Amino acid sequence: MGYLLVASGVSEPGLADFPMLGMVAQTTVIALAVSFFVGGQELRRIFGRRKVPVDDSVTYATDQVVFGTGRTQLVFITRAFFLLIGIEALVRVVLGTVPDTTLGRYYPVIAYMGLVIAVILIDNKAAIANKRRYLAKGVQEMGAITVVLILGALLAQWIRPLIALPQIFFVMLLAAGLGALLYRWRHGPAIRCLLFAGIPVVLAANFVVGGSRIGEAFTLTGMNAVLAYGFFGQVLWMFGGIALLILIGRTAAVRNLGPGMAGSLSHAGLTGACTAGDLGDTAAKRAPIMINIPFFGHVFVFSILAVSIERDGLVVWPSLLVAGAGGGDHDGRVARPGSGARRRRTRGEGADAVLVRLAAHRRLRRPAAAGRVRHGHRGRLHGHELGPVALRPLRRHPGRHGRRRRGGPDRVRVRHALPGAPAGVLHVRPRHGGRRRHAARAGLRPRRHRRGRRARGIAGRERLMRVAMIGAGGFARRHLDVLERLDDATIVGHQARRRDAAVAQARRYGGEGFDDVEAMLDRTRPDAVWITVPPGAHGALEAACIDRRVPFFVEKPLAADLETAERIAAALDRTGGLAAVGYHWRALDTLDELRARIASLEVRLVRGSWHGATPPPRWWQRRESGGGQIVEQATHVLDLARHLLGEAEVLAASAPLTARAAYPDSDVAPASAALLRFERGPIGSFTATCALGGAAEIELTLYAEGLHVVIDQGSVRYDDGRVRSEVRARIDPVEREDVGFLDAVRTGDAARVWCSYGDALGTHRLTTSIQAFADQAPR
Amino acid sequence: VLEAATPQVLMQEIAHQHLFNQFWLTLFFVLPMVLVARAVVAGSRYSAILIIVVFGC
Repeated sequence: MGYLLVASGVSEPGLADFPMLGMVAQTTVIALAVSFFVGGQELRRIFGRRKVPVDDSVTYATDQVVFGTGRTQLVFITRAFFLLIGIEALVRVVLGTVPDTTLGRYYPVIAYMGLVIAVILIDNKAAIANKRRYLAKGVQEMGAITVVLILGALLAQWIRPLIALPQIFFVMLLAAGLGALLYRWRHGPAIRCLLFAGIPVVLAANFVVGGSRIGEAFTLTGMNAVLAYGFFGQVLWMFGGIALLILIGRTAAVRNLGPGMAGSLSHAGLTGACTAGDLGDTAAKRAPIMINIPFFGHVFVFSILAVSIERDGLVVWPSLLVAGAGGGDHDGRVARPGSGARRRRTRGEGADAVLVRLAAHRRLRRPAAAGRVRHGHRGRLHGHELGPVALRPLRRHPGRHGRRRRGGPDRVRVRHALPGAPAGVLHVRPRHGGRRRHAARAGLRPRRHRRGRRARGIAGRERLMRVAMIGAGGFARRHLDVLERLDDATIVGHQARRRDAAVAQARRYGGEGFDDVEAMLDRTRPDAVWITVPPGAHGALEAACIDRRVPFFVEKPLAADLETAERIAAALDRTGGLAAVGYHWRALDTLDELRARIASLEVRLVRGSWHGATPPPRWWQRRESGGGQIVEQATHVLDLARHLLGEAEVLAASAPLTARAAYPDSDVAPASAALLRFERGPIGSFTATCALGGAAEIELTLYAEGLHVVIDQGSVRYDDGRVRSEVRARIDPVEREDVGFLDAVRTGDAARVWCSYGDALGTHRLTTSIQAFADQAPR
Repeated sequence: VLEAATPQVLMQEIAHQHLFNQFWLTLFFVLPMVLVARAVVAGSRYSAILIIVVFGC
């Protein structure tokens, strides 16, 4: 565009006719100040082992306004523009450095307009927990950025007679220091928008201005060589640097390479791509750290350059020392080519070396030979993913997290804590005497870790929860994928019928593998346990947890029969134990609105269906081990109906067992139907079949006065005869229920689970009574 | 009037636009560039910054 503006005669090279464009192009320091601040926060959290719950105060509106840009993102980009010019103008007015141009006269007006518009430009469709507080945070952040920029400029001015250090140098120190101090600060709109769109907006303006000089540049003598060097040098260092990172860091994951490259090269474009989230959420989180680290190195570079300018010549020895330090390891020794873990740990320069050092410092996994995965220590990670991911061998799930987090339902932030959680409640159940001593003896938890935790007092939010998994099937992995992402949980144990399956799972997720549940509980001493086993395997597992007062989360159904579930519920009642059940439909975020409306709806009829294929596991095809389709699958829609409409009684049911050639040993009816009446009045019909080739209708439909509501796992659709609307799921319900359960364990507040064992028992009574009714019905 | 609107005259006109015109011109230069760049890479693993570089020049 810059070239076109000049070529078409609209403006001159440099675009002096568009001074505001030049103004935006000069605001790089503002966008970087925010990166410095966030980098300071992340560094403090890592080195200080400070845990901060994931910020779930804002959920962005993701519907696309322009292809590729969501609604909240568009607001961020627009607000970044106003914020950049507003702050730039204000700082210059305060410092008295307003340019002597026509536009310069308007700087106070620009400052006013930019800042006022930036304050009020909030996406009204984004779900904001506390709008007034969010707006106030924006104002505070804008004020802080302005103060930091002004102080940075004043300090640079003040120290100039001694040494000519630039404003950005002091801005970096101030912003990073402020970030380290305010490491718990939850970002308001100013930081959010500048992190996301600050650098893209600045770069767009920069490239337009730069593009306007392209034609001019080619006319300068020797410019071709400079441009060629710039281009090929860039290519060399981008690809060469990435190759070095892959080699030394032993990682092919873009979430590590991106921030590493952005940091080590201070490459503005890559920095912008990283902080905007283009390289994944993890890269976005890490980029500010990796920008800060080389900038700290700039202390030396700036100083040497400033002294060199004074002397009118490069000061050689300090330069060589800095260059030498860059090639040495963290102990000050120059790395030697050699072999073994030490060489892998310490070789490297710049950002990648820091990644490796962080990992080594935090006793994380050492890099194994490519393709060979060492395991067993992951459970001790203190919640920070930086180390092990950086060191993860190449053949191990390259880029897996990045892909999942970009497109999957779990892209939406993890809800770590429900609002209003009481702080400071650490213990939720009586501890075994000497538990910690035992853990220390068994080497389950580093002593240093225990001291650190104790030293921080009873900050319940910071407590790292030790979790264990019973079961090694698909749903175990579903929960483990969630749990390994949570900052406040560490996976310590796995139990499965087959020890090799438990060990394989432990290798993947960390912790130890066992085939005996009691050994696993006694050895790993988890704070909470997940039970994901076939319905027929329940009973002894829950009893082992209840005996040890370990809270557990159990996947539905509670058991293959009613007696086992009743027995477990009675034991829980007797001991006051905490348990949650994985009826994850209840945790669908699409239901939040319906739950609020349901009391005012006059529901007349409800229809539930689970029409799909026969699951392949053999246990599913036998009622003794699987419970049957009503108990094992349709239980989800029946539970949701109970949840919304109250208890139900069975009026009629039928589930004829017909022979199926493909499943000769199965005693599960291929189709079943039930007629129910709910306590709130509506009657309901529920049908299930496993005769199909794949999933067809799996949904619950409500027929209310003037409203038709269809609920499935992806959305809730409303139709009142005139208007149709749809609310789509944005939050992974499994993540929601796991986080809710962990929160309940941490705080001792049983109300935080999405479905209690007692409530789930109501559903289990309903499904088993439908099954019993059908068994008695004439065939 | 149209005949008088040579590129030089246009340039002068733009150069002497008051504040608001500068404001909107800059906004319209920058924002679409970012949005189009994001649209080009939408659904891919490429970064919008790559496209911003090309459009800017």
